[in-house]
Amino acid sequence: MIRADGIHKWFGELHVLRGIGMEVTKGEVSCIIGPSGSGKSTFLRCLNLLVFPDQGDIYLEGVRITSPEVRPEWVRQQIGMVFQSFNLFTHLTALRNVTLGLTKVRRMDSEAAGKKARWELERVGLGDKVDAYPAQLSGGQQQRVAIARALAMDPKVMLFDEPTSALDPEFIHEVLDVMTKLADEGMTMVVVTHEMGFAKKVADDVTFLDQGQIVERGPPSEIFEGPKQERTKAFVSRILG
Amino acid sequence: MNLIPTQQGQQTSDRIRRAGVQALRDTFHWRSLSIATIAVVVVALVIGVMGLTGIIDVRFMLTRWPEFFVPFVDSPLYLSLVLTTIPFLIGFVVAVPMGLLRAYRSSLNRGRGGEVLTLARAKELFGTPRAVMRVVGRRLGRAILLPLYGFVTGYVEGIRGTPFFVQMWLVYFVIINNLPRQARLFELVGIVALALNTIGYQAEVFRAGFQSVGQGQIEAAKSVGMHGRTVFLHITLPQSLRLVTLPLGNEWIGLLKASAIVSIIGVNELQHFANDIGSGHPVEAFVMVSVMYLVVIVPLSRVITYLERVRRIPGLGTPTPTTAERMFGVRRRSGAPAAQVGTLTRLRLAWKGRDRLRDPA
Repeated sequence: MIRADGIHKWFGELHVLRGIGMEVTKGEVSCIIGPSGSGKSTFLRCLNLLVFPDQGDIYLEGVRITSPEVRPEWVRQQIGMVFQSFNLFTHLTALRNVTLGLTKVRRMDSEAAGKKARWELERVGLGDKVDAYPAQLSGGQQQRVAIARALAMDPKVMLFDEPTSALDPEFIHEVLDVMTKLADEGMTMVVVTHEMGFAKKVADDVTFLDQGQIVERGPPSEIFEGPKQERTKAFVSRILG
Repeated sequence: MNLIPTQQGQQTSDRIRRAGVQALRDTFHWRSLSIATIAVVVVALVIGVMGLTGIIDVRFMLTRWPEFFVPFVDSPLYLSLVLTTIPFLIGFVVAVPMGLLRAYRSSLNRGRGGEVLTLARAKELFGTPRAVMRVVGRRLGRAILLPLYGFVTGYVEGIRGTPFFVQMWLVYFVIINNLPRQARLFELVGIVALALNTIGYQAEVFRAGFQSVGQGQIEAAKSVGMHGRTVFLHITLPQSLRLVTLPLGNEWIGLLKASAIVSIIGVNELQHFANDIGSGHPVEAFVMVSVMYLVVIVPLSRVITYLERVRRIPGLGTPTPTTAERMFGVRRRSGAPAAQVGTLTRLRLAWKGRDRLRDPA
């Protein structure tokens, strides 16, 4: 479904990504873990071209999206993204947050867009919050609106960038529940997360990233219980405490 | 008697209507009216005392006052308003792209990374006309925008770094020396000079506004597939317009006061008219013209407050207090603890038997 090939990225002198290659097949849930500064977020942003890789290629369903012939807007329509800090449009209601992409990018008429948006909000359990502004919602609710906003575009892949890191503990589970449901429905997902419980339960494979390189990749049981690499061992033992 | 409701379930149109009603109620609320009355009485008393002691000639003031605005068209008040409004609107239109250019300077010389589309390949893909537009357009755009940024920055610094007085004379002589004598030439000088001036200031206001919109908002908009233009129109612009309402209002007020300087070149606006009639009665004239400026600016600042309140995003920031809240510390929002209400108000409300202080829940 989505494949990255030898991705390099420099921020000035800083070599953030040092040749990352990774493939996620259709319906797969792939988790990325790693210490902060390891390049997880940058890599995720490369996948939908929010950050453009300096070297290497990304393929979405076989199409080389890093080609200069491909418009990044076209790519991003097909890849949903959920951010650590929600990034809901602060001046719009929950409903308008979801419909904006539908009407402005997919050119739906506002009635159809409203209907679809309501349905998506219903799906994440926020059918009664359509008219609320982001600042009136809890963190968990905001993140679920953000998920609905991404889902409304009918993406082929969903990217999650530490979706629960900014949440109070009491709200984490409601977001993870939505994500689990989504995974069960067969959505292809790439998730940067520190939620080991989620990774263990839902992920098909886990990638450990350190200093811009993939250190180890495997099914969650292997990464969490019997990592082969020393660095993975050290990291896993630290986060599992 | 509620502020813009912050509860959910309020459609925007409903919010605007309610805020409008609130603004009217607020303006004609007995508290604000009484304050206004007190202010008027004090001014009248001062003028009266000055009149009685012979410092000013009250009869002169009363007879000449209407001439500031009757008949309205071409009256000094009218000219001052025209000299302010037209340059302000020109400034608005020109300053938005200037502010945009200044705000996004850093993205101008930053390529996106990765490969670059060659002209040859683009021709194969889209045919020659579109390929040229895309490839050459992009390069040309950058070749034009970078020098343009330099020009805009120089312009802004130039305007902000020199007195309006000097700028006006500059415009005056350029126009006088190059255009044939005709009616309204001095008005034209005033409008051009004020427009050139406010463009520089408004560009900075917009730059600050655009830069204050969070990077996350823009990333989120891009992540659903929006183009740069769509992101600007639907995210950056509406959010930054809210941020710049107050500074833009300040700019308008500043512009109205700056327009007094234009009196020197003979445009018969408020200040010029005051000079005119003030030859025998300077104190009276300046009292009158001061009141005239106040009469315009005070309601205007009320309108700005109203706009801020209407456009406020529910739940974000601190709500703009109503006049009553500002002056008396009365909270009329539901659920406010009674302790925040002043003693006098509490007594008055208790006496009237109102139940406003109780939690409606």
